[in-house]
Amino acid sequence: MSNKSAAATAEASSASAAKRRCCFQETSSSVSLSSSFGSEDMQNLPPKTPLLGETAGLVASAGVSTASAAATPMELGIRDPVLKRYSRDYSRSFQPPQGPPPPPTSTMSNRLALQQQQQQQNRWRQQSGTFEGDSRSSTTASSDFIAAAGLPRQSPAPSLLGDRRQQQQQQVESNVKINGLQMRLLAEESARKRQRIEADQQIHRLRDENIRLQSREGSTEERSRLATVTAELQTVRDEYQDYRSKTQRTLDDCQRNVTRLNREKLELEERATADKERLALELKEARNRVFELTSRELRMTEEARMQAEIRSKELSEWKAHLAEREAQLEESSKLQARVNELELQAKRHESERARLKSANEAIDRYEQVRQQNARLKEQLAAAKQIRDDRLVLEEENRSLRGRLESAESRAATLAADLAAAQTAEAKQSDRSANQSLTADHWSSESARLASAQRELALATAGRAELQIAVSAAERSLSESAAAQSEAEAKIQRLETELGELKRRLRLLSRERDMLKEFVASYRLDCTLGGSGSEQAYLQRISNMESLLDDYKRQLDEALAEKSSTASAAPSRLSLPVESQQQQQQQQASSRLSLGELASKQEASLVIELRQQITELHKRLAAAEEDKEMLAAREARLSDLGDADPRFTRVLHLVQNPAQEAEEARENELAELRKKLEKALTRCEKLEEKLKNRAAAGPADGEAAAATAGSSAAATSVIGDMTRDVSMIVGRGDLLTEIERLKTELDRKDLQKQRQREAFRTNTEKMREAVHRLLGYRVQLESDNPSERLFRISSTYVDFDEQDSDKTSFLFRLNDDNVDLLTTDYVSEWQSDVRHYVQERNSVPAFLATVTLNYFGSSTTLVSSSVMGATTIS
Amino acid sequence: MPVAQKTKHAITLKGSTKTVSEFFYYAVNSILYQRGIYPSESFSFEQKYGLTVLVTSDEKLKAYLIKILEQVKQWLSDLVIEKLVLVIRRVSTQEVVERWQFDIKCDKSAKSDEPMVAEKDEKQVKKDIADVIRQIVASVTFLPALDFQCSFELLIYCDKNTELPSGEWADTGPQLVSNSVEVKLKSFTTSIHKVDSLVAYKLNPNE
Repeated sequence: MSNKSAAATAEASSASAAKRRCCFQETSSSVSLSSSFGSEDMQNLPPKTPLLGETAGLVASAGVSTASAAATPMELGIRDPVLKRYSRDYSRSFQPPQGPPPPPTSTMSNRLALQQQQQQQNRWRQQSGTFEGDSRSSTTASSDFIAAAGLPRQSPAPSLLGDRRQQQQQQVESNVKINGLQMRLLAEESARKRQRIEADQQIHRLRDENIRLQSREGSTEERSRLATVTAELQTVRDEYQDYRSKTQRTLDDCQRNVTRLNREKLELEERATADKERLALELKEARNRVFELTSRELRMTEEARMQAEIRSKELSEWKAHLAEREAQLEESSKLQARVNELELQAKRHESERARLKSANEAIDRYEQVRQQNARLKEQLAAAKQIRDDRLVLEEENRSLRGRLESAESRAATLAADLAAAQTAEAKQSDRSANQSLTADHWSSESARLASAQRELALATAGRAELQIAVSAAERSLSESAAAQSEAEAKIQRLETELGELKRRLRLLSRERDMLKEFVASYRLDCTLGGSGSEQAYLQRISNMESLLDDYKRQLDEALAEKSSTASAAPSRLSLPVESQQQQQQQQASSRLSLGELASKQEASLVIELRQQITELHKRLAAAEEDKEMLAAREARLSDLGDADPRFTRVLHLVQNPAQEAEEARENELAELRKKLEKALTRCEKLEEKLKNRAAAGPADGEAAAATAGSSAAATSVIGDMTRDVSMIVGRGDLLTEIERLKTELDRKDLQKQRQREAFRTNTEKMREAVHRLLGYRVQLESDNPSERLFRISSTYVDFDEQDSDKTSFLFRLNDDNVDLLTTDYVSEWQSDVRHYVQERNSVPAFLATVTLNYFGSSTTLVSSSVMGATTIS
Repeated sequence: MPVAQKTKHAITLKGSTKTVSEFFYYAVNSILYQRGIYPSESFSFEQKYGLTVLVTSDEKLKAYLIKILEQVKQWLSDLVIEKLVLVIRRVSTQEVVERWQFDIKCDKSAKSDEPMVAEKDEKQVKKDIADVIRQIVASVTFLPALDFQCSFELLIYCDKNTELPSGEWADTGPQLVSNSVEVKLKSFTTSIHKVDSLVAYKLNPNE
């Protein structure tokens, strides 16, 4: 009784624990109850079976990922391929189970199978929950990703969700069914266990009583009682056997039901797995698509941005280039203007040179005028001298007149004396006779008269001469006065002209200085301007040198002339002295002649030559100065690296880095020009397109779609660059295009999914039809569709073993024949293979034979089992 | 009474030519590196004259320098060379912005087969060359930065009667820097060749 109560207590406690715990623990309690079974049952248990449920439960409570990560089904001793399959990563592609689950060899294994199924269901639930969670998280992640990428959020397709919900509902229903059946099974099992426990208790009780009775041997009553008890024991044993066989049958039925349900469940799981795989694949595809779209959009945006940057850079470069070109153009125009200016200046310089020449001539003329002026001055001086002479002559004339007057008075006195003498002579003649002394006195008086008469004649002649001289002097005086007035007028005129010439000379000197400065700067420019101007520079230097030579020559000539003049000078120079002397003599004789002016001209020529020499010396000094300055400049340029082409050659390699860089730049510029032209052409096209679009205007959605379609077509026609530019120009167009593409993509995806589903449904239907009509399950073995490898398994083979090489055929379909691949299973059908396939070349006949064989054997099995059951019973 | 005897150093034309052409190679390399005409990645370190100098590893540039310096070597030994000029030009405008001039004065009395009495020993000459290289390197501190794409060219000033070796050589102009500022660098002499250095540059090349 104590044992019974203990068992009942244990049962009650286990039942209450089963209520409290999860199903795994409930199963483990049932397993622990089975510890009271016989040794035969105990041997079927795996060594760690009691821990399985706990471990699985713990693992399941910890989550699927932990279960799959911490303990694989094989490690846990789970032999169910379904569990193995679910323990795999759900993201992997679906693969049919490689081997059937181990057949239920005993009741314990059935229980284990039930436990494992329940564990697997729970795991599946958790997995599905996790999967849902994963999918939710993945959806969230994808939505976050989309949000991060700036794309509009997309809700999952409603058809997909509906299918999933339907499948989940079906699974839940099947799970409910399975759970009900399992509960029923458990109830029956617990009832059976209770009965078994009761029978065991009774057996124990009977055994105890038997032992107790055996201890009381010798007593007949007890023997009879023992026999009765033995008979009762036998009866109980029989009943127990009956009950056991009945229970076994019930268990077998349950097992079959469980197997069927398991099969259904497996199918559902397969379907669910397939759906899950499909959904995962679709999700993955969708993610990939979204990612691709996002990355495409990002790439396009990035490309557009980069294109914009490149364009802006190119534009800025072109602007810079244009600015440079403009600067160059401006510089060249400046240079051109400078050249024009220089040409003008050169012309001006030429004209100024002509003017300078004329000025030089004027200077020469001025010199002549000055010389003429000097001559005139000399003439004036001579005239003044003549005037002085005239004054002297007038004085002399006056003195002569005085002398004449005195002579006349003396002559009058003498005439009076003569008259007195004649009176006295007459008186004397009267007295002649009288006196002899009076004759002497007469003769002396006569002599004195004669001398007085001579003196008078002389005085008269002198007077006449003086009168002639006076008239000549007066004539010459009048002439000199006229010459003087003329010379004074000429001097006045020349002085005016001289002032004018001096003014012009000053102006010309200033202009010459300015021109010299300009020429010096021009020379500097020419010098720094490069090798092209060297010739002009050298030409100028040679001109200067030739000019210097001319000056030297002129100087030599002047010196020679001077020396020749100097040799002739004594006679010529003495001329003025002589003329002075002559003039003095002439003054003395009151005679001046205009021939003296010629000698004065010669003297002025000498002066002029001297002046010319001085001028030439000055010019020579200036030229020397210029030469020194030029030499200094040349030396500086030489220091800076300038080369004198007369002595030095500057050489370089024709192919040099600078040349290569220049060529590369030219090529690059040409390429950029081409690109620019291309881009401009495309921009024009784009603008035209935009104008057309703006003119058309999106009236409604269809029109917008049509516009988008036409824009896409136009864009494809224009080319990649234009599309990029259009994306840059019209961001709205780009977004519209993206939206349109997304919509189209979604539509295509939906269409593709529907087609896939329709295809899958039809395939399933076809497979189901083939399966049900021809008795074979046909599966495409290889993932490669071109290989066309099919696995054929009979419907009469145990479902769990259908995919195994041991129970299925592998066929490879070629274009003209069918190959049966050698497997272990084929070797079992060697004779039929030889007969039908090899000899008669008929695979259908072979398969039909196999079907018939299976059919016969399954029928035989059923009948044999029935017979066996009959035999057992 | 001890008698001190002065040591005399001898140098040949060949040795002087080698020394000077070697100096040109390293000087040009240093200028090209310091002025950033070629990217710094294309230069590698080398020990020379007791200094770490940078030498180009650009094969094309190396070939150009070797070709031009081989000819320079020939003209150095012929005593007809007068100047070696490195002209730096702006690629966009072809304007000369910098000009490194090495004036070479040759002792015309030197003969190829007779060694001459050298004023300085080889060590001293190398020290002088190192000083010039140091000055070239230090010149980056005062030379204006070249913030634009530049290229360079080497010009050789020779005697008027120099015969050109092949069609690869041609006459050109001196390519002076307009409105330049000149800085004279140190010089060195091998007793046969005297090399004076000068850099002329545009003060504001970016304007």
